[in-house]
Amino acid sequence: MTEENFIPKLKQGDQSAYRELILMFSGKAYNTALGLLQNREDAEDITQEVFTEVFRSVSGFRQQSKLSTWIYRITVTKSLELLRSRQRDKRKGIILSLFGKEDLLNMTADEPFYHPGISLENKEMSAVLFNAIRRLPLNQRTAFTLNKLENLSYAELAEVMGLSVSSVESLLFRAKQKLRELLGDYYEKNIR
Amino acid sequence: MKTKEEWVDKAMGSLDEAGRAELNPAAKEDLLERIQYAGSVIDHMKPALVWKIAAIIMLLISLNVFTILYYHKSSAGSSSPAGSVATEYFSYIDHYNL
Repeated sequence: MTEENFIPKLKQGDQSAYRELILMFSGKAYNTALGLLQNREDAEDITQEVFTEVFRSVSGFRQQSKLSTWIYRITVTKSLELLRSRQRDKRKGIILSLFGKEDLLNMTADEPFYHPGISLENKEMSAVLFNAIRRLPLNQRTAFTLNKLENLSYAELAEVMGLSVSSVESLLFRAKQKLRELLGDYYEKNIR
Repeated sequence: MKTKEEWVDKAMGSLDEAGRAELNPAAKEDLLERIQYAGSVIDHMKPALVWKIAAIIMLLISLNVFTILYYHKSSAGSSSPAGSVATEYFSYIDHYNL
């Protein structure tokens, strides 16, 4: 089924079209959410929310972009909302610790994340990289994750993120630079 | 022994050719089921919710009937407007000795 005859059926509320939509796109949404959130339960919840949103909003979808772009955009938005709320909770925790503990930076270490799609030989190294990705600003994290895990081109990334291609190039360049720096620090502390 | 640069290069490349993670089958089925129920509110409400709403409506009707009956019995023969309405409305109760 092509996108041209898919979308009218979705707008009519055709249940089989929705089923087809989920079968075609749930992998993309889940993989994107998993890469950004680095947590399976969160990624599953976000994927549910994405398709509920798609169901609710498809009547307003004007087909100015591809269906996949739209779904990526919803997934990224919802994943970033969750990340921001977690960051706010973390900041509250730090403030509470100012009053409760002498060691102000006594934070538990991040749990390593093992992406199920990574080969065994790269699992440990990818866990280190994912840990470094967590330390990127959200826009760099989004660009890098989508580029690496979903193989989105600069043009596709620009559409999903609502940026120009040159902005995406700049984001990716800075993300890679920052990651190399973080990985270098990790090497100095743990490998050397 | 890898140099630092080689190690960093290898780490940066560890996501290359990563396979796509797939939603587990149970979560996918749950998603398909939710979409099935996410249609119009009336046509696709979950049965449990329909029964709950029906129970609430029955409770409200029962409370109203009970209140009117109670008021009717306690103000039988009263000349107040509400008492007259209740008396008139439920006059069949006295007629059939209910």
